[in-house]
Amino acid sequence: MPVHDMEISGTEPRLSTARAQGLIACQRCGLVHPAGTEHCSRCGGPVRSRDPHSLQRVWAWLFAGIVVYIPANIYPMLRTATLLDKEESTIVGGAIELFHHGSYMVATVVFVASILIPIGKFIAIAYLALGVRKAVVMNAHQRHKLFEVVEFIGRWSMIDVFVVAILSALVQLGSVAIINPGIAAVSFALSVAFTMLSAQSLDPRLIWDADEEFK
Amino acid sequence: MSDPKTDPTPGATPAEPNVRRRSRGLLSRLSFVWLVPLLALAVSLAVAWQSYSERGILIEIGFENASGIGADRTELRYRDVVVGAVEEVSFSEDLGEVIVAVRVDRRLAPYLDDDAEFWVVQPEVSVRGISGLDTVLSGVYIEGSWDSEAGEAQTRFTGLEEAPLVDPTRPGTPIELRARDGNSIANGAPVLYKGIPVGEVERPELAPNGEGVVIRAFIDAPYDRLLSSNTRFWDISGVSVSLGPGGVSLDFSSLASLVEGGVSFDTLVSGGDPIEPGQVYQLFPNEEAAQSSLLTDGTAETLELLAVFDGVVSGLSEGTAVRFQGVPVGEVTGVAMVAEDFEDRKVVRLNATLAVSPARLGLGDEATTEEALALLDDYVVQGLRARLASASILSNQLVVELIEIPDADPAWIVNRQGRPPELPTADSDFADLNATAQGVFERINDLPIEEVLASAQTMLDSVTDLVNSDDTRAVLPGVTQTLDDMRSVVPEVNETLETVRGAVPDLESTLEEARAMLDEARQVVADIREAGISESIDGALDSAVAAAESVQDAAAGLPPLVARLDSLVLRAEATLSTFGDGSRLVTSTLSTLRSISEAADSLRNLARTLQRNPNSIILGR
Repeated sequence: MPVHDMEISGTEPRLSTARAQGLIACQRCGLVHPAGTEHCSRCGGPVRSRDPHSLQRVWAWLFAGIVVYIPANIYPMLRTATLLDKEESTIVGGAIELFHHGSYMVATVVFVASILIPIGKFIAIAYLALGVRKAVVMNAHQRHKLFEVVEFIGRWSMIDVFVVAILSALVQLGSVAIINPGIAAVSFALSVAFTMLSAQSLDPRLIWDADEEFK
Repeated sequence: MSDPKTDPTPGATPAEPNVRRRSRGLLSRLSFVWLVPLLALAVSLAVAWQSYSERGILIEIGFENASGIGADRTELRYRDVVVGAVEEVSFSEDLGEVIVAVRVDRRLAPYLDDDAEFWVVQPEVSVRGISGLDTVLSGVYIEGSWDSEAGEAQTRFTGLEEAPLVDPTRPGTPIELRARDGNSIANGAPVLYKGIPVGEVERPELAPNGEGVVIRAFIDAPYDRLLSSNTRFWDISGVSVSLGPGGVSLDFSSLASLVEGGVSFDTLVSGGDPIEPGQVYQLFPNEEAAQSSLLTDGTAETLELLAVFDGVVSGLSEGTAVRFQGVPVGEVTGVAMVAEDFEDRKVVRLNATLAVSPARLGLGDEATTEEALALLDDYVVQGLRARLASASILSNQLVVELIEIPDADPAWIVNRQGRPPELPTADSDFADLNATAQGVFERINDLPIEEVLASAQTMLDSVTDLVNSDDTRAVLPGVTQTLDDMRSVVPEVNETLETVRGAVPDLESTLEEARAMLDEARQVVADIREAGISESIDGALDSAVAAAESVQDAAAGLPPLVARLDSLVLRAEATLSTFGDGSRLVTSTLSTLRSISEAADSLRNLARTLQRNPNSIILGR
């Protein structure tokens, strides 16, 4: 259990890492190689002690995620055309409207899933990436916890996209009612995907290194 | 790794990491992943730029009210395609009107010049059907209309209260109709040509000077080619009831025209000039007026004539037709009463000004008034006179007849200074026309209808008696026999005819011989002239004798023919003298007579009803 390990790493200040032992684990299949090996002897994947481009990738994906998150909030998420009316709703607008209609529960879910989580993720990833560079002071254990949470919760941001996808597929009733996804739906899906990639790009071993140096 | 504090493998030196120096180039240190945010940024900017550049222009439309218009909800449509949406609804500064701000597709901006029109489409129920029904559910929308020529773009417009008649791109010709009043024509009423809708009219508007109304109309292409300066329009609204020789007739063109009114047109005279859009036409109250108007205000000028009638007559007014040989050739354009001294006493005379169309006098389209006058001059010398006549016995409407009166006193067209040429007039016996009409009715009234019916009844009774009498019945059995006999007679008649036909060649040869005889006689005369007389006379006499003999032969064939005809007549007589009875003919004859008797009863009842209640013939009960 990695959590268990982390707990240990949190309580035990002195820790001999694989790197210190001159060993490298393959990131793909987990086979341990002696340092200096460039390709895994089992799965053939690249074997590196630390990914030198990890942070770059984190930042790049993070920026991409933020960039596409802007149109996701400006442009309409749903285009609803009924017999009587035609409506375009953005993410925030939709949440507010739901709130006004008294669906507090749904409004909260939408708000949390589409606004709080993505923005929280941006901040968390940025914080972690900065933490690797020792720019921020944070408890090592909390840092690991945060990393776990970010990785776990990222996919739940897609809830809005799923709702849009299901509604668009189901509500195609000719002139009576039609729901189509807007540009924001694509942007939002991309934003979520980019931030997930960003979180994955973060080599957790860098956090360990930071822990070591911090100690 | 249970004890991380101690080295797990003391003595074993960790292998030296194989560290390779990477090149220090800036580009090589950058991850290719940076392309992703760049791409995302580029795409986002592109999308933003696109939506900014495609953002429509904002125009403002002023409306009287904004019923049903809502921001972000109401669309602007052009030819039923959505080209914009209302962004804001506000008031003008003086609160005088509602300003609707509409964001319109940028590509259409150049066409929104001063001819652009906007109106609110609402559901409408009219006689011709229901329109704008979709707006019942979807809410109203603003419809825009403009032509396809880009002009100076504007952003401030005034909305129309209702949809205009036609959009500017509809092919066709707009025209204007002038009418006395507009109470029979509603907005959108059809323009018919031979019963086919070819256009529409707009709501009648009061003419600027307050006299009459102006009705804008639109004739669709290609029917607008039917229009010329000689086209006449008339009102077909409502129902027309006319009483004429054919009885009472009820006319209305269609249900829509009954309620909404309608306009029909026709080009009765060829050779008119092509028209410009916006051509002004007069709207005549009915077809006759439209047709007769052609006589007076067609393109050709009319010949003005003066006719002076003695006495004062009612029924002569402006517009009274002038007929020549029964054909309308013009109309009375003015009637003036003039008191004149005539043989020491004052006499009131009626000066009627006639406008006669030269074209209608048979002089062709190009005829001038001089030619027409010259023609009439000749006619007058032959006895042409103007005379008043009654147009119909039912009304006291008059017509002016130009009629040739045999052995009229010599007269001619008088030209006087300052007056139109004066046509000589003839006394008309119309003065008692009204009396005549009245007399006609009186006579009808006086007709011994009841007596006639009574006699008819007695006659029928007699017939019934006759039929029922035993004598008649005795006669009838011979009928069948008669028919048989008739049938047997026919061959004989044929035979007779054959004989007659046989006699014909004889007669022909006789005639030929007679001709030969005449030839010889002529020869004889010639011979006599040439003095060789006696021999020729002998020959001639011989021939004459031969001819006479031939005639006698032919005559000899006649007696048998006569005898046969005699026998035919005898048989016919015998046939007629014998009647059979009990045949079908007799029974049907009897039933027919019975029906006639019943009919007579009905007539008697009718007569009695009429006697008791004479107005039932008008009221129908």
